[in-house]
Amino acid sequence: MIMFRWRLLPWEYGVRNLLRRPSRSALTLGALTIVVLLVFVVVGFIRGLEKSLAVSGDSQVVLVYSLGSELWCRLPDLQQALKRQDLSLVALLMQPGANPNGVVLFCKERVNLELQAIVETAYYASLQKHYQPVRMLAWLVVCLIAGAGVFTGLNMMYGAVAGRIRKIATLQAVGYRRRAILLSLIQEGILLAATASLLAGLVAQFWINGLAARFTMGAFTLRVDGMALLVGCGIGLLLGIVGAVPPAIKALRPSVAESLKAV
Amino acid sequence: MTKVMNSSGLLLLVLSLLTGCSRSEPSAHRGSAGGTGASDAAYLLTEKPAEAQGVAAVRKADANAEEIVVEGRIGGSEKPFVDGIAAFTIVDPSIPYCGQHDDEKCPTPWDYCCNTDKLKDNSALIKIVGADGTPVSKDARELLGVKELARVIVRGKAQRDEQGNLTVLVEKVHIAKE
Repeated sequence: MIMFRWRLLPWEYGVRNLLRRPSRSALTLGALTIVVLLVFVVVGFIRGLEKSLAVSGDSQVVLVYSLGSELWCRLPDLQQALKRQDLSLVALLMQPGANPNGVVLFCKERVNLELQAIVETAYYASLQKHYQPVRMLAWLVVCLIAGAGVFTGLNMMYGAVAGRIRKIATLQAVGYRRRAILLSLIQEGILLAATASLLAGLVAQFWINGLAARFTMGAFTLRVDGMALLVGCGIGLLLGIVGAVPPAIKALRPSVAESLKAV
Repeated sequence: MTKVMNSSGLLLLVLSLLTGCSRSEPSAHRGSAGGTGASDAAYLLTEKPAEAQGVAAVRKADANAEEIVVEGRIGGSEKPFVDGIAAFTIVDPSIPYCGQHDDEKCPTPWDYCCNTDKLKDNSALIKIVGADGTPVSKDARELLGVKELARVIVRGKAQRDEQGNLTVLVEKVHIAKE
């Protein structure tokens, strides 16, 4: 029974270690908070963009507009520039059971009018496809930010364990296993990262959520919804784990005797 | 040694999966008269109609409801076919589509974006109708097995409006081989 008993370091040990160096811990907490907040902002941007481009619309509504390239701009400016007051898009709500393709056929018959018709759902689907590269780029930014956060965590933990090699060796000498010490170091990283995620989450919910963002097609609001919180907090916790493991392994690799002699 | 072999085997498995999954989709750069697959033979004309004229020449005539033979290339917009209805637009073969005579790699050459100013006077709408005169409720791509830029010759009744727009009501279509 004693052989299989897994003796862990007390929870308070990790907390005390963080509080023992308040300025270093505070700086790392600040850095991680900013990283997680940036993740929230970018994911909120993606979620807001996705909502505004969601394949919506009515399948019984047909949009009829002029052929040729689209121009996205403010309507009054365009009307003034072209000296035209009439609008060039008509949205037709078909009667129940009516075939929207009849409108498409009409536009093709009247070649002189240079019109084209598209069902509203197909229009939004094409918009969503058009902005796919923007969404992919935004996710790439999220990955880059997360990567930066990992390095921040690594830097902090390397610094944290560098000055504690003798203490870690002492813990091993009194009977704590390497895995228990490893867990304690990871606990410190997770504690910082979780605190940072909570702080960033609060800021995101109260200041970022609902913020308007102007875009080429108009404007939409940043959405810090459940998915954004899941991604942001998940990345935050991951930063804590990934940032703590390599320095902890490095600190535990040398033998006890060697570590006790370390300066 | 065992560890190295296991790692190499795993790496080979991952690489083979990646290679197998990364298949590029076939390019849809040009349509062809070869078609998309099975078609309905009842709407296809095997013999080439004689005395076919281009769309531009046919548009200049005045008479309505006369029987005409017109030749053209399926195109004129990004979507020349009407979904769910056997109808499509054709363009006079004398108008070159994008990349026909040069190396321009246009993803949708059938929209004639390089000659849009000529489309108005060189386009016509082809409607495939049944015996009762109503358009067939099936996509022309499935009905005829054609794609964009296919060269077609049709014989049918011309309908012209006051603005000179031409619609041809046909019962069968001949797909010219190129």
